[in-house]
Amino acid sequence: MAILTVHLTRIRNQLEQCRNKLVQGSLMPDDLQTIIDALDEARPKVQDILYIQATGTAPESPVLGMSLYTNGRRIPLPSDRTDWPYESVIEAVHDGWRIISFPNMALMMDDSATYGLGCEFILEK
Amino acid sequence: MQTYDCEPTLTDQQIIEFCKYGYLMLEEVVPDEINKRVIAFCDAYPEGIPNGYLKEAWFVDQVLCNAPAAGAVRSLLGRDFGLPLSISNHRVHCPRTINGGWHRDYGSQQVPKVNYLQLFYYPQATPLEMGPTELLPGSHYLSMPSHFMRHLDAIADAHKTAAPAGSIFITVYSIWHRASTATAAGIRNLIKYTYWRTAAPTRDWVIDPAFRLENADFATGSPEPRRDWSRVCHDAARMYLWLRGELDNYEWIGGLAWPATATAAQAKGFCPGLPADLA
Repeated sequence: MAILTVHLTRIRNQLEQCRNKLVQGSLMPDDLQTIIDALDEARPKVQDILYIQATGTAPESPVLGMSLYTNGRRIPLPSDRTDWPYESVIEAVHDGWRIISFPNMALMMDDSATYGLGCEFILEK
Repeated sequence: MQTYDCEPTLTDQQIIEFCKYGYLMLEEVVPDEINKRVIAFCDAYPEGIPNGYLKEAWFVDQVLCNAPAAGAVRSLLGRDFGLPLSISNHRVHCPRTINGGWHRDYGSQQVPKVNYLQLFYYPQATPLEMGPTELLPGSHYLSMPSHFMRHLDAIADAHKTAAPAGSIFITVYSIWHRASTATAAGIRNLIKYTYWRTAAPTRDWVIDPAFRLENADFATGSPEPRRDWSRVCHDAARMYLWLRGELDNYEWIGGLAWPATATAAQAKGFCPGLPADLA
């Protein structure tokens, strides 16, 4: 059974219980809060993504560029690097981000021809 | 193709600065009465490619052949350069939000050849609030294709070309750029066009008798974080020497040899890496 169906079945059962309690005159705010919590849990979890272009392959390297996606949307970042949320990859890791991709060395075989914007790390929450 | 000629205005070091950073800003070079006329024309013909401009003598004289801009183009492209064959207007209704958007224009090639130049003209004042084009200085040496840039957003040391009305900036065609977020309300026009080389590259610009190649400054002024510092000097030197028509005389020997500026500054008669034919 799909996860969403499990959640919907659970919410439906809770609503039936609330209806019965309402008929009996015993419905309490906590009963409704339970349904609210269930709805929050049923919402699909969306991966947050943080791209960081750094000056080197070490996670301590200073950040050259950054892109942030939260809840499935790109979040514009300020132009001024002093306003960016992290100064290095390791700072982002300390804030709970997990590295899912390290700079790809295979692309750097010819350093006279292959240039991008620094060494790119991809992180997620 | 219609060609144009005039006196060059850039010196060797100004040419080198263009090679290093990939752009040159000329502020308030178009007279205000022409700016107003262009804006009125843009309002009357708001399409993206208003090639009707090309038939307007006043536009050709005052914008396409604008003395400071044409003098810089003449310096970089040589005599009898070709005037634009088409014009586009990046006309924007502000405010608007920009996410990502970094790109190099279609057909970008790797330097050092400079066979055409891209010019951008703001007929109205374009402060940060009106979303000026954002450039990444030095990025014309970064070979990343545009479709690999789609995820990029904030980049350190990017430069927003905020400028007064009548400003024109000239770029190496392959420089990375994007629109930027505009927070103010109104219409922003950005006229964009390309000039073409018809003459073989040669050192045909303003010659400063005090200029010495061994002392030329090819460094970008601060530690270049994106790439090896000496390679940045090398790439700028290659472009500069290509513009002189003398690239075949140059072979980079690496290390801190010329054109690495620190070595050159300390040369005192011996400048390793500087081709004898060019000294």
